[in-house]
Amino acid sequence: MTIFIIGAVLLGIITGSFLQSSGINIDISQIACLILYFLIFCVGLDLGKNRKIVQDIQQLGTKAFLIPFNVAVGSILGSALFGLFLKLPFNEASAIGAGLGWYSFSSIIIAQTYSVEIAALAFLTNVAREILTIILIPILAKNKNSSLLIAPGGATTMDTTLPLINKYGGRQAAILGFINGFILSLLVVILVPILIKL
Amino acid sequence: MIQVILSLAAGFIISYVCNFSDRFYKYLGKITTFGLIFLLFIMGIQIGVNEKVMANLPTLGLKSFILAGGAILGSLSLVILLEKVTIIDSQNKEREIEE
Repeated sequence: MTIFIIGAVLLGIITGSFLQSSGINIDISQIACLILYFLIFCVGLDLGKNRKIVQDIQQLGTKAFLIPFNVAVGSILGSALFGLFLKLPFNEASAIGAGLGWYSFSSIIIAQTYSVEIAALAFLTNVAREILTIILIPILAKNKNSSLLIAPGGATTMDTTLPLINKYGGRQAAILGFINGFILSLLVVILVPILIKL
Repeated sequence: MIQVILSLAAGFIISYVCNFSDRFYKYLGKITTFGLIFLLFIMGIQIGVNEKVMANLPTLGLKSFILAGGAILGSLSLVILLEKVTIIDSQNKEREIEE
């Protein structure tokens, strides 16, 4: 299955660059959105099978809210630390990390308030995060721990990587993932503009 | 964001109210797997057709993967730490919920 996942992404990238170089201009973002909403609708159907969902969320308790906080701090510290090797200043590396996989938002904010070059790096880093997350989820799923499964995805665990999380981690992971992505999406909006100005 | 929440809520409510058979959920699993592969392919195309991404890939590609790797490692480390600190064994709880 993992090979299909990586293969599908790679085949897509190759197809896309081929389309681009042959001058065919298609906008598939709407198709992508529709498929995504359909899949999230399916995740909803799957979650609705569980009659004890309120109990489940109560049992998850504060942990469900502590995970996104740890993910945010971990992402910022991790990218700031690795940024040192690339000789990136703290404000740039930390703001890029605070994008938490949400590439469209973080790059737009950085482009408007800081620099287009760093915005391009922020965009690519968050695309790379999504690709690495797609590769890591099936691997981390072997651990049977839902928290680990949702850690790499950042803000994407409420949308683009949610169907994958549901498939590999089941309903428990999907609920955790949705809460995680929701809180992190709010944090991206707050953190990126603050960190880039440091 | 609103569309995501609405899609999830619609699916959840329909499934909760309708009480579908186990066969339905088996087919649902198959449909979502195919849909997921297709979505990943489309996401790949979106990356591939993006001139900004492809043009910057030779110079910024490695940098971006290093930064993304750092962010993911940081996230995983702190979440593993949280798991160790959390007194209740979450895995036991997960098994209970699955049953």
